Amino acid sequence: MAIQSLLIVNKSGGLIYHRNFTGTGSHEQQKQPLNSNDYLILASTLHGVFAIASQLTPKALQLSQTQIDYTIPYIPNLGTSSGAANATSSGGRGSNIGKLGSFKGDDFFKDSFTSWNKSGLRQLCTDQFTMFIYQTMSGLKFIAISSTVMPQRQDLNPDRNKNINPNNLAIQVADNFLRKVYCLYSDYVMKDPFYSMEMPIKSDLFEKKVNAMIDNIS
Amino acid sequence: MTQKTLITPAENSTTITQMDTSRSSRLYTESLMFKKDNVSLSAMTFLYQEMISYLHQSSTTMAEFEKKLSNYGESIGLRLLELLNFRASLSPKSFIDSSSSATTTTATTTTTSNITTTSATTGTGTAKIISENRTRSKSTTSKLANDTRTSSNSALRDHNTHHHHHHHTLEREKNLDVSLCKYITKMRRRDLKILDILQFIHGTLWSYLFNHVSDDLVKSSERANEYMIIDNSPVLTQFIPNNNNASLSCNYFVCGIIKGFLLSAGFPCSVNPHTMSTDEFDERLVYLIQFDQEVLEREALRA
Amino acid sequence: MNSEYDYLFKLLLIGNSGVGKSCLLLRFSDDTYTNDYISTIGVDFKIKTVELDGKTVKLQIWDTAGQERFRTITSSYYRGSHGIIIVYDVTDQDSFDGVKMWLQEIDRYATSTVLKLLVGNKCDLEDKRVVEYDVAKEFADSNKMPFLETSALNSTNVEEAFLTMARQIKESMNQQKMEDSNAASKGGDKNSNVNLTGGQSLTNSSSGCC
Repeated sequence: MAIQSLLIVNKSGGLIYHRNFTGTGSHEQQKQPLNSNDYLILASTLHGVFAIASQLTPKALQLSQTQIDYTIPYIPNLGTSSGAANATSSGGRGSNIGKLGSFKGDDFFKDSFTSWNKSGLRQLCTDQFTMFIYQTMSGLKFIAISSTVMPQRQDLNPDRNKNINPNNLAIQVADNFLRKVYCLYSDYVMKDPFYSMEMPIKSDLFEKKVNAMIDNIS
Repeated sequence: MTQKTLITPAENSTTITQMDTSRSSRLYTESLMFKKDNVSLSAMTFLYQEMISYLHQSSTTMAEFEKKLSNYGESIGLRLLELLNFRASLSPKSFIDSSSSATTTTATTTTTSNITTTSATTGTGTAKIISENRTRSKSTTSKLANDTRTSSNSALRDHNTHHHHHHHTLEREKNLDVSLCKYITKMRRRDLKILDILQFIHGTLWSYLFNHVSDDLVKSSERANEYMIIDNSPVLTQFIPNNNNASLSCNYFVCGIIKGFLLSAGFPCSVNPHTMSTDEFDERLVYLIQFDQEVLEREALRA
Repeated sequence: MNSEYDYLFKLLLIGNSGVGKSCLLLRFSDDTYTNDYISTIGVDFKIKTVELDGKTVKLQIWDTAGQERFRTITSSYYRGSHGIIIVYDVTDQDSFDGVKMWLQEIDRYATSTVLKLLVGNKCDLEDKRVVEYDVAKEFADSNKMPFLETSALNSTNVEEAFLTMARQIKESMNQQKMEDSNAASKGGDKNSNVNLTGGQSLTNSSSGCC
């Protein structure tokens, strides 16, 4: 799954981070038709749509909430290089390339987790791209746009088994990835004494770590 | 070894509950003995970040900010000289050696039931010193004293309680003749040579602060009074981005510790941070120590 | 790099339907005016980039719908806004009476530290005026908020209304006040006479790593 763009929207709907990753295979991305104001408006609109979507959840679904499993399984070593695992497990103070900030061990986390995004948008499928939204407890939203186009509903195997549904798998991968970006955010943005809350992220270290993760994922 | 100092939130919470149960402040009752303490890196860096932004906002110039931050460190550095010298005296020969190379520090920490076991290797053999947390109730204390533990156990405990009369029990009074002093045959002499004190910083001080020896200690080939301590990845400032004018200045805290340490040992100097990134370590930091002229003159007289 | 701006401030425009919130915003962001009345649906955004003390600030202004039926959605937009501008129409007594209700909304949904500004729009229509300046000024003072009369038509005070607010927000978060002034004074001279590369290692092991 190639990540095309990563956006971070703060809890009040302001776009505080946006990057396009023009890696291999995305040649259509050569010209950027949108300027920064457009992205700001898009992000805030999404914030509004997200709020509306959470109100739109059908009553029937809300009542049967208990039956829905929001547990996201852990996908090992997503976005971390295999070399990083060796460096940290050996306990040596070797190169800090694979270092995971304040996180212990060779991967950021090792357990499945529960999605906090229970009533809002989680995935938006179009025939151009797929968008994944990971919302934190405090309302911060991490958004990944992937160039991978998900199969439409009617193409899906009618089999009810969740595990083979490509949409579900994609959400799980995206949630795992975005959670790791959240981990990076908690280290390299929140622990920066010169960062003012809710303002655009300008940390070069955060930038570097995110780029490394994107490189590893594609 | 760095990984060892970090603890997961789950572990962290147990430490906090332990501290809550202690009635008196542990700061004053803590044994001076070496004990392996874990501090959450996340909590530490958050605290450091708050300290930086507080100082940054209360300063009008960059120099003032650096001075204030350095002063914070200095007050720690001059206390550490005494503490680390004392600890180094405990096992005259190999205590420094064992702590200076991080791999040989085999201290195991058992946090269950508030007992901390510290093993320190002496020159002759391995003496196991078991210090107990002083906050336990008297009944458990006496119970433990009757326990099948080595005499050093009660000896050390009695030393701990020495200055706190309200904690004394009759039982303890009897054993007062045995104290921690028994383990100090000779107090370690304060280092008098530049090279010795710098080695002490490079090894012992760095191990105490960061759980590993500093990555290099270099003497400048150009100036006689300049020495450099190198840290490949500074722990405290690792999350502070480099694209800020003030980010390098955030290292003045550790500079202050070094400066305070050297100053109280009689080596007046100035310490400044400099970045020196390499391919492998892009946050490599050099603490440049510039000794005052008098230090060099004294050194020359001694030689 | 997207770091073309240093700050992003969220401003909110509220007020009864038809008082001219969208026109005010159009005047500020694009310096244009339209007589056509198009009711805002839900929320609309305009972005204006301004320079304040050498910092690039993007003002993202959220123009909410005044109509009652959109009220449930607009309340969720109060969250995290830095400044809220309450607009009324000087020719419409009802819209001025509604200000009280809007203040209650702010108390309920926005943070207590949010900056407020009262704006009486359409002050060009002097002959139709029903809300006197002094009355509104007194009301604003009693609620401890600044007050301006504007006209989106002839752009009186429009620029001032927004820039005053932006400056106040900037001041309230001037964390990096001394950063630029003296960054140059240090560093340069200190680094110039330092040679970090020449030197001889004093540690026994070839590398400090274990």
